[in-house]
Amino acid sequence: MSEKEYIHTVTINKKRCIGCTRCLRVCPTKALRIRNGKAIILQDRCIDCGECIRVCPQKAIYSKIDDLDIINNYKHKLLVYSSVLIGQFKKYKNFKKILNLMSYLGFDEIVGVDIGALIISDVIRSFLKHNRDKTYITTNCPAVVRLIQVKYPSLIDNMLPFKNMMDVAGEYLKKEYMKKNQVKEKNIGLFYLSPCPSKAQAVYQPEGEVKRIFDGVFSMEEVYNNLRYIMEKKDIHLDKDIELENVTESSLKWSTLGDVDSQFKDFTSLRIDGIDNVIEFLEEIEEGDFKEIDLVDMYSCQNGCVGGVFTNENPFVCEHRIRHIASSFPDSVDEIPPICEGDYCSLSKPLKPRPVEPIDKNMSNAVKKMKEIEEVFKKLPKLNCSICGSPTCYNLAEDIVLNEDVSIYDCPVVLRRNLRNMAKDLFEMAGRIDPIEEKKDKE
Amino acid sequence: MEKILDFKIKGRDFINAGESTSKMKNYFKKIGISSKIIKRILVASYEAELNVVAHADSGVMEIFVDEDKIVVTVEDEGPGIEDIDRAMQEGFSTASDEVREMGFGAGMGLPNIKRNSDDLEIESEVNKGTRVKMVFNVS
Ligand SMILES: Nc1ncnc2c1ncn2[C@@H]1O[C@H](COP(=O)(O)OP(=O)(O)OP(=O)(O)O)[C@@H](O)[C@H]1O
Ligand code: SF4
Ligand code: SF4
Ligand SMILES: [Mg+2]
Repeated sequence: MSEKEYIHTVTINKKRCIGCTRCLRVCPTKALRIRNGKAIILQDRCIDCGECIRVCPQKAIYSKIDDLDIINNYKHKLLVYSSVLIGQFKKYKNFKKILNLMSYLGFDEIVGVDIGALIISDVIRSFLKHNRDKTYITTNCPAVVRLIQVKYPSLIDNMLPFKNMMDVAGEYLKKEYMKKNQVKEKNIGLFYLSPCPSKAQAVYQPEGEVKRIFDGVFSMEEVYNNLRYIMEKKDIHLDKDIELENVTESSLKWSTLGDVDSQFKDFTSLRIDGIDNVIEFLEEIEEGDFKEIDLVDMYSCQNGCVGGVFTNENPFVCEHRIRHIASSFPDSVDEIPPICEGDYCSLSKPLKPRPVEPIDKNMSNAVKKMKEIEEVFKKLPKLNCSICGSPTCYNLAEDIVLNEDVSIYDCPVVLRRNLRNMAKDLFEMAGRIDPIEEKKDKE
Repeated sequence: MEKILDFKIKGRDFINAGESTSKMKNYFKKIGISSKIIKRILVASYEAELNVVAHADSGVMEIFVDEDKIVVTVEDEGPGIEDIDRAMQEGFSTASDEVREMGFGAGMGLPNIKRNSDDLEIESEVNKGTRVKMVFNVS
């Protein structure tokens, strides 16, 4: 995995795209352009947040993801599911029923991400006790991690040096399974059931890791559909007793709704959700720390992971169901599962920034180009209509200066103004009488 | 030396002070200045801007690029500084009670500017104004 190369899950289906510009306007990192009538993604800017998938009216943007049948390549099949799943079912508001239903998917062992939340919360608490120098940011939402790497490199040191809860849950499940069943790692397939393309991306290319933790990732949408199909079958039994020993109310709520304060009562913690709110907050921390806040838990999606792109239930309804289910669990467990045996909670290597390339490597050239961009920008109408194929007029000015294929005449307003002026000139020119004709007249 | 940005500063206007910060930040990011240096430039410039807001009537901040240096000047019309060496000392402040109530006036601004810049020049004339020039090496 080279540092430079950036694997993305969010992809455009050129055949379906009609170039309507809808996606350009929502992309938080201005990573989209329309070129030759089709949307393209600027690879170094995209953070796989999936906002563009949500709005595309043509369903032309999708996320790469694995097919469920890849589990058959492994002898032992383990699944970590995003606990958001338990809020997706209208029919089942009972946790055990849902788990029973999932047992028909063909995995040998299944755990929710909430177990990762339970384990990592203890690690973070003891870290925060000794580190009160700045506002720390959780690594739970991979889109936020990448946003910071790409746009806020100065905040890299504010990120907690720990794995996100899904990776912790994965490491835990694998270690436990290997110990209990005496199996070798190479015979195990570890999978993740993801609520969003961003976490899928993090499966394919985990930041702060030297190798992949999960062997594959499935979308909640697809698995939900599968489960719906299983639900309709006659011969299923959903009342088997299942032991739920490592589930707590607060770990369930943190891993699904980002209810961070329930996990970190001795600290000041905040949940910030929705990519625009996240950006606003990061800008502010960058310009001066919020010393009174110890921890911020940030989620690209509105309402946290219940608002993930692959979820099918309304996030507010889903939240309500999860709160209901969570309230039947104890607030804490007597013994937190083995923490960091061989330290599987820390990131394997420090997170590194991945800033977008400066407009020129040489600073004085960069300044020159910035001037040119300003000059071009002055000529643009500042309507931010995106019809030119760049998200805003300023982006178009940048694209004109930095990319030779883009012209100021891609702006329909400038084009019309110019055509009008040309027409005026033409009219005036055409109205002049030919000097030769004039002479003839006089004779 | 080429001017890249400028901002007007109004005395007593604590609320809008700092608006320049995000514009400067975005510009510096685009021309590839490292985030550590950006932070230093922003901290020093903000303190200099605040000194105009807190102690003077009005001023301008100008940002220049000079080969591999960023130069920030803040020039104001105001009371000027009587004894610059004294003003540079940590904890020295003549801030009014009103300014102190807003949480400023710890006498840490100028020392902070000194710490964050690679070169600092202050010229001042009593009852006329003050000019602060900060230089930052970026390469
Ligand atoms: N632009 C200025 N015009 C007039 N006097 C100034 C100016 N800048 C600084 N001073 C004088 O120098 C003193 C020290 O400035 P400094 O910035 O170190 O502290 P402060 O502004 O009083 O408090 P703080 O910056 O910690 O809020 C000020 O109290 C003021 O007397
Ligand atoms: S929203 Fe974007 S991807 Fe979808 S059709 Fe419009 S331009 Fe194409
Ligand atoms: S996934 Fe997010 S960052 Fe990437 S192109 Fe779509 S909206 Fe932009
Ligand atoms: Mg000051």
